[in-house]
Amino acid sequence: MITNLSIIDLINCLFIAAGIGICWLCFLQISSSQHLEKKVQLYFQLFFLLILLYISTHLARQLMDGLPGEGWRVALYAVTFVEILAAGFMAHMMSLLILSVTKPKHATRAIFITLFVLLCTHAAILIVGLFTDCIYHFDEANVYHRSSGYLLSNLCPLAMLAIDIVLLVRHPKCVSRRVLIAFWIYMIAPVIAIVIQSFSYGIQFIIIATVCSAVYMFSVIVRSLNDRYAKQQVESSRIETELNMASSIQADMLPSIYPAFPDRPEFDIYATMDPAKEVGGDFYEFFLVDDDHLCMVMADVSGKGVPAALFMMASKIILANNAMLGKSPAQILTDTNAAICSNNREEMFVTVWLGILELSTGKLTAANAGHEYPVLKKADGRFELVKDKHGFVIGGMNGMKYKEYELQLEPGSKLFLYTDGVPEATDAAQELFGTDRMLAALNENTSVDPEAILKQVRRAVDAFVEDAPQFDDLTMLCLEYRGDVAHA
Amino acid sequence: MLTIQKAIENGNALFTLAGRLDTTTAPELEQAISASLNGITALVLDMAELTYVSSAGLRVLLSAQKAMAKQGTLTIRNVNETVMEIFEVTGFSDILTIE
Repeated sequence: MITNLSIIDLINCLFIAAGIGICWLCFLQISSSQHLEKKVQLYFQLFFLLILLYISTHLARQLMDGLPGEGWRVALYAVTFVEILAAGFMAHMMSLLILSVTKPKHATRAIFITLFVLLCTHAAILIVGLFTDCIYHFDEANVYHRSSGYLLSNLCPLAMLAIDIVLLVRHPKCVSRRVLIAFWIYMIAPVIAIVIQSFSYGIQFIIIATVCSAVYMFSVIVRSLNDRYAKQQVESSRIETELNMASSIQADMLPSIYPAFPDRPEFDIYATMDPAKEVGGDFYEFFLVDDDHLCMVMADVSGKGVPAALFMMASKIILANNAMLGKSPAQILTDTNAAICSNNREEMFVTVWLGILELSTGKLTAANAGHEYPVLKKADGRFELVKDKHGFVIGGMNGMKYKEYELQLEPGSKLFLYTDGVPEATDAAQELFGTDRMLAALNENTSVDPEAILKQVRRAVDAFVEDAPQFDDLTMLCLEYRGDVAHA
Repeated sequence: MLTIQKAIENGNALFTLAGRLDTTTAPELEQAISASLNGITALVLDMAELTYVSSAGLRVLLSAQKAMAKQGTLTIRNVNETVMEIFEVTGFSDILTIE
């Protein structure tokens, strides 16, 4: 059949066979490139398939050229049609790639539509050419000849190329230098090949130029994406380290050494904070304002994560500073609100329950800024919600005033404070833990010490949510008032 | 999950909310409100189908309240018991107009 191959034909076949091999290798390699986005992968797979189609049909035409008979004639027309159509699609994909990286501010849509119209025009020209032989034709011996309108088949791809060049010239900084050079090589190499080809008619330099420059472009883009991925890895591990440090700084800000006041037999206190993320927006606080007054705070910042944690640190310090001045709970909240509102463009807020216990008498003065109801157990009673009067959250609105109220703790009383992470712990079926379940857990055993009370609640929450991920920070505090035992 | 249905007509906007307004969904409402706040004099949030509001959701309501206070009114409608309790506990029931 094809026994009389000339040297030139042989060289062409070698070029094309090598090209097919390289394209397949690249195609397979794309599927195993982990760092490529799915979209980019698909794009390059399509791109290499098109090149494969282009050079395979080119090879097929070379080999079949001049074979006699009607069957070969139909086949020749078909592969030539597909070959030139594939060239148009390749130019179109390249233009889309350049359009997507240059992202021109205006006219992206217009260019997109223009490219599509050019592609359709290209196909239309080829279909007309197929029936009129105005682009290429095969003579009686089935030998390929260009027709007078041959240039028409290059019109649309060249127009797309012109758009590419304009885009790249106008947006030279859109990609790294290396990628930019690869783009230029890919666009210019085939043109140079065509020029060389026209002097040495026969050898198809365009095939090898297209394949090599496409592979080069692909490898440069993959390399630059890999570099970017590696940089992101470094960055995210840095952020992780910082978050871990922030997490321990935040934990250190909360009193966490127990027993907290070993030399004060009048009371026992225990608290825990369990953030949903590395850092959280909940906090508790307790400290002695003076010898006879214990200040307790339970608070919850709106939102979660780093913003909440930063806001939490600021609120905690402002609250503590105000409390240390010996103000009343309502005054502390009013002043803290004023301080936070003066500088709160992000409109964050914090709910706060703040109480001051007079240790000698058991008188608790408290104020509530939008926080959950506290829970009180009288000396010989059960844990019950105290439906106290609520003010507005702190940081929400300037000029808010807060009211305070008093509760009398008898020796044996216990006070339980918590954030909404407890009653709003959610199970897999989206059901809330709720205050009823919380009270039931508290009342399981009311005689144990504060640490055991918190463990009791935590166990109940864990049993309730089971495998559902912890969504909110979980913070609890329990105080047991034993009375002025020293003087009793 | 939160779904927001918007109906806007001559400066009156009605947003019908369904689902949960929490950390993940609050930004959606924030965007929806800020996108259509221009020229609105009466904003109504219908919460009949809203099951839960977290503190992040409250923050969005507070911003909306502050923004609407400058140009008209914000009304909250059909609040269920759970959500009403959240409004009462946090003191939001004092600053919001709830029907």
